[in-house]
Amino acid sequence: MAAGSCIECDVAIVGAGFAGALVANELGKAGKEVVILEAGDPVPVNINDYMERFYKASAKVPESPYTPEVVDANNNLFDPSKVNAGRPTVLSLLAKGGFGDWTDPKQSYLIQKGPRPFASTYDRVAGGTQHWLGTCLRLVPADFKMKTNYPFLPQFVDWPIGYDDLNDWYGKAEWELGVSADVQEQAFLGIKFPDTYKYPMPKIPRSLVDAAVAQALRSLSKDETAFLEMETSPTEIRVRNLPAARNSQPYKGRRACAGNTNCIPICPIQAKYDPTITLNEATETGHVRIFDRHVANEIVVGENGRISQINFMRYALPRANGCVKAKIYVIAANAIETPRLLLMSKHPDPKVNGVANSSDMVGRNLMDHPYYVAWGLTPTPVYPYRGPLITSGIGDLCDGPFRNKRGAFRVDIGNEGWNFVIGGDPNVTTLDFVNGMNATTLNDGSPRKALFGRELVEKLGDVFTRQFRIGFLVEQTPDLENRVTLSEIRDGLGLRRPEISYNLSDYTRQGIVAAYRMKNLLFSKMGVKDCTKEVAKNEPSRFEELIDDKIVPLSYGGAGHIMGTCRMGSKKDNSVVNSDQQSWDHDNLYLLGSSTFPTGGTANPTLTIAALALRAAEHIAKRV
Amino acid sequence: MTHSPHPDANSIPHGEKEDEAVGGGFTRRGVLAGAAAATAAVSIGAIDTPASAQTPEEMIVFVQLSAALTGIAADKLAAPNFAAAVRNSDPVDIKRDYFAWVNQRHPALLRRLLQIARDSQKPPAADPAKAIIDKVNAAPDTKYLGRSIVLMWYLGAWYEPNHLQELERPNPPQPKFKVISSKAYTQGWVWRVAQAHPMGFSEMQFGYWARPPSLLRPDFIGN
Repeated sequence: MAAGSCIECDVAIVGAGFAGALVANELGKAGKEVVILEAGDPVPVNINDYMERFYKASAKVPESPYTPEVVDANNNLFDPSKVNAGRPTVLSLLAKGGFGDWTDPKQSYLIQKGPRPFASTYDRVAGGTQHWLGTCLRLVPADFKMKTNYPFLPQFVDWPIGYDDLNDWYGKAEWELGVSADVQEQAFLGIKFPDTYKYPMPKIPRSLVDAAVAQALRSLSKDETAFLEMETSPTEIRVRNLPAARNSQPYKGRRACAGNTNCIPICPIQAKYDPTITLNEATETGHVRIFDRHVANEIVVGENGRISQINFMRYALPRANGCVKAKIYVIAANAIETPRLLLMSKHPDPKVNGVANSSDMVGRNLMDHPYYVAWGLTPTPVYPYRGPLITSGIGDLCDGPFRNKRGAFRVDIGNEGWNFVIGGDPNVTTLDFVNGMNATTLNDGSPRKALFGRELVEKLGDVFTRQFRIGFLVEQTPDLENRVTLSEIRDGLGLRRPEISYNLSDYTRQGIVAAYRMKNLLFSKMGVKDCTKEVAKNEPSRFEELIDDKIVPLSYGGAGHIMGTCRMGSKKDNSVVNSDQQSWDHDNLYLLGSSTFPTGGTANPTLTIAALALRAAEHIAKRV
Repeated sequence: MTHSPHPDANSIPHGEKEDEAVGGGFTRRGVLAGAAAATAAVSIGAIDTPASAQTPEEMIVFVQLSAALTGIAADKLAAPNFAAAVRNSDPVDIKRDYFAWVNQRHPALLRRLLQIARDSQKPPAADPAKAIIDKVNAAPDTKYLGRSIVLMWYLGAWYEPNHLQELERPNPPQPKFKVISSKAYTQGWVWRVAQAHPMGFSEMQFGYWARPPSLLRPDFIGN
């Protein structure tokens, strides 16, 4: 495209995920002309395109319904250097030397420098993180004030805003996404709602698995829970329904949840909110245009430090390079792709590495909620594989005096049996008992059972109705050296791929240790036979801790909660954006999404992303 | 436990309701292969087409063989979703896909398995299912193809018999399989044995998960 023929609009947005879709829709409704550049494929006309891909996938990983393809016809991972808009996959987080080697750039889109793997993934497609669970927790008030509360912990910082600043925006976001929950039940750990506030829909009923956990918690004693160092009595530790953007009754033209047990990767009936819904609303305003398969590759800084245009590479045929000019620019990729784009862009001052980076904070403080999981068999049936993937959790351990020395955690109760934890049940357990194998540890007799007929049905019926799994989302410290930089290794468009350095601090690891103890307590209260597999010595996420004079191997997975790499703050010299999500360095540049979170707490970031996006949209609308 | 959001009887998930309707005056548990074969014969006769690769008799035997090996009653296996009103039809007809799938890959070995099933029906076989299982287990080639067929019915996925043999040895490779089709995935029997539904394919209604499945014991178990 020749110079001077840029696409023109009021606001240009990079990324059609949660934040980008919500901002575009608000601005479109206000009559502003909006252009969204989306790196990936468009919103499909019919969701069944995605369902067909999901049903036929051997590895039903979070990425499986979405494009581009993760594996080729021979089930080998595509070489990311040949993919236009690549993305990480959970299949490239495996041990060195074989399939899915996490350090192999021919298999892993992210160039992982370690020392530990960054275990969360993301998609690059219109709709962004459609493979989310739907959980819509608010952060608790203490999450905004970690520095104030624990000034002696060097890594933590405060948010430049507090819970009260976001309270109304949380409410607006809950109505926009359509959240099912009960106000009274969610008012804990200091969370308050405006007097007349109601969630848009009643809460989602709890599952039989939830009920079994709730029953066990009733008998917790003070001694048993001393390791948690709570201020409150153990009777405060209770199972609460999770607020979720999942319809408990018809809402905004979408159906009530039918319990497909498939929120991740995809709800087949869109009872769970995803951003394609808002994208469709946005384009219907007549003011929002989405350009898919357009990869933004440079933010251009013009006079007075203002952004003058964004350049893109279009790989939709015919391929072309082009540009967008706007009054205001919004980067809403994600906490890896946003800093990547900022770092790929040139600042006129050679001393500044990339755009919006005079603080040198772009790419730093990469966080997740390291996810510790455990599984076993309950003594009597709890009927998993029914209902939404997760309906309840234990949230009362998200804050407390223990945060002076270890990460908090939030407990997830899985309704999907061992599907997610042993690499694809029901296949693994079925194969064990049909083919005399023991991947589950359940077929440990000698000789192993290889069953046909009635014995097989009865065995499978017994095991599958008693499968139980639990997960702990652990708070992670923001660490300067956990960071996204640019690799010399490139993607299919010739752009430098993200290079990741990542580790777990002692504070974070101690959070996982507390989670491990909590797992042992819960399992013993419930009479669960622990079947959690000891993670192999060569697994990259493995680490060992001394617990009660014993060396215990532990490990973590990714929660998909990528945060922190463009932190907001109240000072230009140690943060990237202000509380309006506006760049300190470039007046007309906004960064949206969880990249701006200064700390991550334990809530999944989506509702806070949405609240901050709606808040920023109001700010932006006044300026154009 | 949470109160049911749908206290009225109409809210019983319809998968379970169908079972109850069919159950009235008709005990499917312990259905003998012979009786099921009669049902299957009607079904197959009605919908067979010249284009299909197998004879109606072969299909009946294939279902008998599958019922013995999987432990799922033959009439349910052939038509897992049909209700009383349409008992003699099998609108899903996954059995035809499965027969063709195996027949394409291991035609000779499939014929041997079918012959085992035929021979096992003959008098004085007191327990035809046990007879089939014993004979299939007697030789490695029939045993592993038998297992492939069982996994196909349970998971809608294909594990090659040679690969299954490899997996049973010490230090096995990672299991490999292919989902046969989206239809096969959604017809997997393992989900019904779990008293659930295929993930991503619920035919139930809001709130069902707050209550136990209505049948304390599944009634699809065969001989």
